Amino acid sequence: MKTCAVRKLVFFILFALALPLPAQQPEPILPDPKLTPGDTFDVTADDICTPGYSKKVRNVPQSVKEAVYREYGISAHPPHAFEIDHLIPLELGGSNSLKNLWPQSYLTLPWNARVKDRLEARLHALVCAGKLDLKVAQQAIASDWIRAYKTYVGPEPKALGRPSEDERAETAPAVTPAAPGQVWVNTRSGKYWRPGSRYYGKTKQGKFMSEQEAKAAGFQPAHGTGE
Amino acid sequence: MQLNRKLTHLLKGRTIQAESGDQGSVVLTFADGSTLKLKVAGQASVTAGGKVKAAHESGAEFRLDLETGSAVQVRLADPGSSVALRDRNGAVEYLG
Repeated sequence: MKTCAVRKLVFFILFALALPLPAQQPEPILPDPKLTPGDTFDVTADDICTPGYSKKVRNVPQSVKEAVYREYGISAHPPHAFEIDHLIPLELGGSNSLKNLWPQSYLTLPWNARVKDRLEARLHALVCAGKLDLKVAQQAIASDWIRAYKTYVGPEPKALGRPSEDERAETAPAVTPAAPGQVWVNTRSGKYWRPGSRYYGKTKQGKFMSEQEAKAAGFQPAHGTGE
Repeated sequence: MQLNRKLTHLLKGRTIQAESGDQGSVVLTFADGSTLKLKVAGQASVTAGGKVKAAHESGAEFRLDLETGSAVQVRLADPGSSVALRDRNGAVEYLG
């Protein structure tokens, strides 16, 4: 009798182990609203829409970046796993205060740092085109950037995660635009580059957008032609 | 305190012409018409005048060294969000 009970128990354990686990998607990492409510400089839409505006903001010191990781309890992380992101981006008037910085993952799917970059470019373009109030844009991205993405960009993105080493090796150039024909905007210099030009997709800070959006946001073609 | 190279590059040689402010802020007006607004913790009184030699910043501590040997030193209200330099036309020159 006892042997039979043990056999049943072993069977149930093995059965439970054999059950397929539900597919686990990495949870989207959202900023902690207590640590990162968002913060802005006292700037206007005219200020942020002036080409080269972001270049005027001091770079975040390494000591501050380390403080952000500590706040979020991240003591070690693989290289290129996170960026210290401005919740309200510089191009929307966000500041370098600790209240506006958080470690955003490049690796989570589908929501990650690269996806948020698209939202930031979209909101900046809308503000600079006079279609969206700056304060509304700041509030939208600070309160829930994923919801803001769905509102201002579109449905959940499919493949904007960080490509694997193999994928990157197979892709030339390494950085590809989200849509064909987009220009690469160097958000620090305020200049944009056309496909095939020397710095297309290669500057340290920048993003892809349509040429129309780039012009509406006040960006200008590099060297007068974008070539 | 660490040198703030970006701000030093911009401010070096500018002469402080006037100072104003109230609870929570200090505004330095330079001879070229540009203004430096500092959000400060508590009340700060700035009496020093002269040409700026260098800007230093470390955490909440902020200091402008002047060529006279004196200095303007304040405690920032929120590091990373408390320093704004605008030119005479109001255009942003520096934020940090």
